[in-house]
Amino acid sequence: MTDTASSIDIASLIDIENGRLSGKIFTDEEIYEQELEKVWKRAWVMLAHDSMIPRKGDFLQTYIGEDPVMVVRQKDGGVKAFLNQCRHRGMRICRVDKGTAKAFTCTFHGWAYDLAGDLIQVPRQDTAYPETFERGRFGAVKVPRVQYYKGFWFGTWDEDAPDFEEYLGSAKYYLDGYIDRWDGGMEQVAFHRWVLPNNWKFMAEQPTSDMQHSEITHVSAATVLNKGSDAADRTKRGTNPTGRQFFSDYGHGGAWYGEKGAEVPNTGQAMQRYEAQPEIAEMIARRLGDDREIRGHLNIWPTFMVLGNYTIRVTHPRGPHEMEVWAWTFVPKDAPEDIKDSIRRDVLRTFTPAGMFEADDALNWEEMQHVLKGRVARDTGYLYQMVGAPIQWDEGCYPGGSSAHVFSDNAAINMYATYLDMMTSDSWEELMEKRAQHRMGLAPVSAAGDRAEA
Amino acid sequence: MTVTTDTQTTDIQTADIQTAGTEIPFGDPGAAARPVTATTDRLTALLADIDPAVERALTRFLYEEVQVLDDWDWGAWLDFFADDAMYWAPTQEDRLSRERSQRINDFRTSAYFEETTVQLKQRVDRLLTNQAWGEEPPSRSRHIIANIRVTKGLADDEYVVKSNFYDYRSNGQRSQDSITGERIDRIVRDPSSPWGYLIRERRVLFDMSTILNKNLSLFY
Repeated sequence: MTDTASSIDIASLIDIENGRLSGKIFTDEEIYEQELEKVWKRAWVMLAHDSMIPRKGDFLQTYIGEDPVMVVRQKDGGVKAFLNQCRHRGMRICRVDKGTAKAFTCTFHGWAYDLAGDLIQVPRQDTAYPETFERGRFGAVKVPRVQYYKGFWFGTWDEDAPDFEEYLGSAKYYLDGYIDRWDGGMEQVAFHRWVLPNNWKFMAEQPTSDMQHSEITHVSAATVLNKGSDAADRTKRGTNPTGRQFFSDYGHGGAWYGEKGAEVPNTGQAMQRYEAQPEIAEMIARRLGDDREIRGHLNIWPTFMVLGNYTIRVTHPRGPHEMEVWAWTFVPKDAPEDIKDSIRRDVLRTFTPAGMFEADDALNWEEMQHVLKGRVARDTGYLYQMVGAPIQWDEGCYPGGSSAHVFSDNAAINMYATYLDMMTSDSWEELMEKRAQHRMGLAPVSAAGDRAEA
Repeated sequence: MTVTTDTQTTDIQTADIQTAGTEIPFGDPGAAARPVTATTDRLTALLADIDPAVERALTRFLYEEVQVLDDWDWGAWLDFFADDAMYWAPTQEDRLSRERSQRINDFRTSAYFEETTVQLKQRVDRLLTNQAWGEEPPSRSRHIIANIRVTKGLADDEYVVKSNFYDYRSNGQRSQDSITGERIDRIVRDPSSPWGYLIRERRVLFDMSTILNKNLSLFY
């Protein structure tokens, strides 16, 4: 039994069949502790992109859940990650955001670690420690699994986790649509970091599933930003917007407007013009195939998010009531400077703490979290009963579960079903068995259509 | 700086202040015993460089500007900016001492704002839709501007004005936050503007490396 074994029956709080959630999963301290154990110690989390730490000795500080992690470019070009905690008395080894170094020295008693996190110096070791003291035993705690995927480095604490590509599963197809479009790859050109007063799952859910909030939450930003743009003219979408929502076995999900060739909202016009050039269009088609053009929102569970205008982010939980957003702006590395600049400015004006879309999301989540302080409010529960369109599996060119409708709660419900399975599984083996049994839209789980009557 | 520790000097500090008048830096009675120092010279030079009336006007200009914001009169706020102004707020982060010069991110990299006046107007228009939920109902804010330092700019009638700010915001029933930082403004005299001066450039440097506020939906 772990020290976070909960007395709470999480299954009683998440009703997949009827699309209902208890507010308690967003507020309860015990549940949160269990999330750190069962979700954050088990999931793959994005640690860095090549362009953030290009040279040997380059490092950055990040987190997996609440655990501070150092990510360091090694002399051989590889990347290692280790807990940013001195083995002596638990001090943070490195206290700057990023830089270039040959070693990291703890500022408490001076224990020093090399680029791999191995302990290389203990002051007074020769005179004050017994001969039996072995430095080799007290390196920083390594992130045991670090894997590379198309420019990004991911890590997990769980040695038994499936490989990252298996974890991605059918989401690979959609993620590649964003990050594998360019022969020259991508580079990050801006970084923003801020704190929101709400549970981390609120934001995770949005790129996974919720395109519909945009029509209401972001009406002000859309009004002023999209003047003169067909892409965002809502009247052209009609009452039953085309597009598709996708979800996959380990809780990933996404949604996008339009058919292939449609102008894609949230992608700046400069980018669209760039991609419309024949040689660029040809490159994208060569890399991704003719029938794939995926851009909208995507979340790789738990919180690796890609938005259509190339803000890529990870959120870190900070207790049940708070989270940190770490958001990077990415551009195609080989694009002309004016295209890169256009993408960068588009992101900073929309999806940063001063962004015109982001500001209104924050207000909603803050209020939702505050309302949940109420004892009655917490028990009222949330509804996830918008079906969109029937669930299809591996339909046409779309791997995974999906619905031919951009508005649906299916991917959110799938996310919480994954969450439930994670929280109630003691191993990846058990979790994988449960996920295989709990595919939404297939027996024994009811068809999505049944939920509307609940 | 030499500090006089003679207790007798301390005993007679009141008399010193009275006789020496405004030449004594506030809170430093020991200075009365010193000859005029380089520090005083520098201050004298700074003051001599700028017409006191201009300094007073620019100080008042900044006070009026933030009052307009606190009055929710965002449209009128744009009158303080030249048409081709640049409003820029770079991010900053913690770096090793030897890399500290890279602490503040360069222009055209990471920023919270990088706006022309046209784009600022877009942000103002958003607030005026009355559907900008982050500011609807609008926050009650107090922009406190302090440490205003006016120096001459490169061009005639151009001034570089540094100031510190403390911006408090309260919205809804319980939400409140504040943010501090420094502004560096390039301001020009322009009699055609309603305020007689126009901001051509503003750099806002927030002190937070992680923005601890839920958003930056106002102006700074």
